[in-house]
Amino acid sequence: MRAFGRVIVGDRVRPWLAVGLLLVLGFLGKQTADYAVETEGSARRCFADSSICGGEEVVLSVWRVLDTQPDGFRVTRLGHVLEVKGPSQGLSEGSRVSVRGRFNPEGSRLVELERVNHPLWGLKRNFSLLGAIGVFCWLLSSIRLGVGGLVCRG
Amino acid sequence: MADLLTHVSTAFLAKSVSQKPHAVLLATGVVLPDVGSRLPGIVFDQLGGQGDLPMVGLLLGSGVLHTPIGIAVCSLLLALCFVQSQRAVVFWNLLAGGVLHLALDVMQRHLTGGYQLWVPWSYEGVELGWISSESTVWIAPVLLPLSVWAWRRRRPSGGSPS
Repeated sequence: MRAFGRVIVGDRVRPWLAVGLLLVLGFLGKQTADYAVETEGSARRCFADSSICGGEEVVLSVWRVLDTQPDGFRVTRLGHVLEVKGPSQGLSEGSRVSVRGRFNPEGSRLVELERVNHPLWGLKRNFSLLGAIGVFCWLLSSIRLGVGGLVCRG
Repeated sequence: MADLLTHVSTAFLAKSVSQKPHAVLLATGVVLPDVGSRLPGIVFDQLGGQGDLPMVGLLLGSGVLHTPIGIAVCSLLLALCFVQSQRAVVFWNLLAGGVLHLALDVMQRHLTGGYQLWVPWSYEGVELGWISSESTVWIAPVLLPLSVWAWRRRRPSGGSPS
């Protein structure tokens, strides 16, 4: 622990450590992205070639409802749109849902197996923005630029 | 994710219990996982972004900032921005904030099966399923002022409020 402390407080290794950490973060980010595209993101692979996803089960986490029809609804996230077959009661444009579903044999439409509506998602997002902005302002008011880096008061 | 007001409240409560300084650093650590991993996607969606796979991959890749190893690396990177004498305290506070964040998040239940705590060794989701992902919204408006009050009463005297 002491050796670790010496490494992170030392000025000599700082640039090299920073570059190394950025590389590690990039590598881990790539791994995570690859995994996400293969799982939740498998729905995304289907947009490019829907024939490969017939019968596949996927989970969509907090997608936005674009519009509703009597027998289903369309959802979107990160720029992709997907048609879901299932009850649309209680849904409206802009609401958020998580859906576990199975693609139809053609891979063009998701058949809903389980759904969780997120009626408080907008409030949660606003609370979160408020919290993030508040902490950011507090942090800015608590640090100053000193010789050799930032200095935190206290 | 729970809302960030509730997350920030846990930072104030932790500092009121420990009576240690640098609450602002712990609060920063508490919000970092969501700011790093969720905010980019939300902004992208709000702007009506159209994503091809590389772009979506980049946004999904930011999810690593919501894992213990990503939080540790990010905390260390941010700590390096500070003067030598403060790097350790910055690192430990940011890291503790991240751990506090994950501890609250893991209590929730999701269709996706939870949070990936063991990246890069395993991507298995972990969650306790005690509360829904939105139930903290109801307690946040009460919990935040209470936790700030508790922290202000018990914070180290004579020091700065940070």
